[in-house]
Amino acid sequence: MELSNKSLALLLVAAIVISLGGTLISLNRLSQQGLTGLAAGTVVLNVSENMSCTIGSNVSFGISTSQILAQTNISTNSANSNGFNDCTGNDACRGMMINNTGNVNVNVTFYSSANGTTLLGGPGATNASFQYSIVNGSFNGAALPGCNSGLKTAWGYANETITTICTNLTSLSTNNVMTIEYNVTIDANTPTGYKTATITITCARNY
Amino acid sequence: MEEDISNNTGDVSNKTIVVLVILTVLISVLGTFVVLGEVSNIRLQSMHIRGGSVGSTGKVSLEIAASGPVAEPVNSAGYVTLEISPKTK
Repeated sequence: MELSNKSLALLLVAAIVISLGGTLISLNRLSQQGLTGLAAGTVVLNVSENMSCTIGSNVSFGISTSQILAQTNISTNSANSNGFNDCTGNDACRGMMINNTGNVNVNVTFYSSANGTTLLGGPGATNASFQYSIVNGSFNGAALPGCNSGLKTAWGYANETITTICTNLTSLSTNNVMTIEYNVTIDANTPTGYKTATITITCARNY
Repeated sequence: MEEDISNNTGDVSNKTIVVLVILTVLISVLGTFVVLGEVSNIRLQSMHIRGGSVGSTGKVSLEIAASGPVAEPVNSAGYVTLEISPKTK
């Protein structure tokens, strides 16, 4: 089959019209759309809950180097006597720092493996011989105060009873620390030797 | 000779066909370049407005999943120590 030049001319004119039309439609669509390939998306982040708290520092009062003649009080927030560590400048006994290292707020409880009587022994020891209190923040309460409520700031007897010391220790990186201070009273009749109390801190999620 | 024949028969001449073909190709090529030019302009504009307001919305959702129905309490232990040396007695 052969096409006449007239038919070919008609086809070419149609091609020109289609090409021009397509170009105009493309330009029109582009001006309406603004950006090509623009799409709305959804980003889903899933952060798992992590509950964790740690004791960042133990307390070592050191060794007495002079005779204890009378009732003597040593504390994590004082210089101390009789050769015990100066806890105002020694990180070894500046308090027991508790750090909420998770990402949820927690309640914190405390108990000791020994009370004043069993820790020290001797006729002069009582439950009042071993006490603790809580400071909000790190050593000396200076930084990162994290306990929002229920902070036990008064001195109390350290013993085997589970006691709540903070009802809301937050997990914010700038506010997640509190510190336990200790106070021990010894006297001339306190038996010699190494004395250790194991302190257990329990952190439970604060709902 | 052929042109003359075409003219004589009322058909379009070959010369006209050639002109139309060239026109078709030119218009097609020009249209393509114009569209490509517009696309690249839009791409440049999108680079300029990055961080600004764009006519589209996205959604970011955040879920903090509990590690279990009831998270178990966590224990941590520390020590308070002192030593009373024999020479203190």
